[in-house]
Amino acid sequence: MSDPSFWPFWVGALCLGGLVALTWALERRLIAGSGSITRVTTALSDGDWGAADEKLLNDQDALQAALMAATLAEFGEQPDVAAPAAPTPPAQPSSWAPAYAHLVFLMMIGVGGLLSALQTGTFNADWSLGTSFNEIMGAGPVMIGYLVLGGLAVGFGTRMASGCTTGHGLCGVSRFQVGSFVATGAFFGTGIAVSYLIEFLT
Amino acid sequence: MKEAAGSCTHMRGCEMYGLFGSQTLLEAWKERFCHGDYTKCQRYVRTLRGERVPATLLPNGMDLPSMGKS
Repeated sequence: MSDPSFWPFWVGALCLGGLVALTWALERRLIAGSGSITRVTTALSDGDWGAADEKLLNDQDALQAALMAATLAEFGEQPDVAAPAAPTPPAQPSSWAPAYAHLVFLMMIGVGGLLSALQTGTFNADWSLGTSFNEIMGAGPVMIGYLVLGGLAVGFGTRMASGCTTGHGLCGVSRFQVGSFVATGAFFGTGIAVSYLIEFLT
Repeated sequence: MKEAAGSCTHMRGCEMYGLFGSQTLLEAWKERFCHGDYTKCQRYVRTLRGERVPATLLPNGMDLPSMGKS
């Protein structure tokens, strides 16, 4: 029997799968949690939220005009090019979206958790990560220090692996990308191993 | 930087590569960068540096919105 304090697992599975499919159907792009965090923090740093880029990419006439101007500037009046032997393949999936779209995506993760907690009546503002965690990691500043270190390790790992559980686990595995299978196996394998280790230590 | 052999390994997922197929004249970009010396492509260079690559950044380092204004 499922724990009534959580939504059933299949609700989460349907929501996540639906989000991936809907984002692809509507925007032809893949979702990426760590990529979104990177994009938002970069936008906060350089102030470029991508609105100008989005406007141009959605205006086909302006886009083609800008492309032609750039081409003539780079190659001269008549670049010597042969007609392509085969039509260009359709655009490949990317994770590009204006930074504010990434911000909304990240905020909705919190909103989803909040809705679930409110609906099941389990909402409670609490900083505790559980008794097992506290027994090993301590509490207060020490615990916060461990969390910061953990966050840095996760950030380093996701950059090194070019993705996290969202990009690799949801989008990569569903597209049968070999690298994503390896990455996801590493994520979850490590998670399961650490869980057993904590269980063993406590 | 070493001369590139073959085609760019980042073509998949490159927003600009898809745009270069919309007109024959634009194929010049592909010939020079995507299928030529892609190590000179600023999109490729920035990716290797771990920097953000704007969707509208051209391989030569120019930004498309600025070209539209000229």
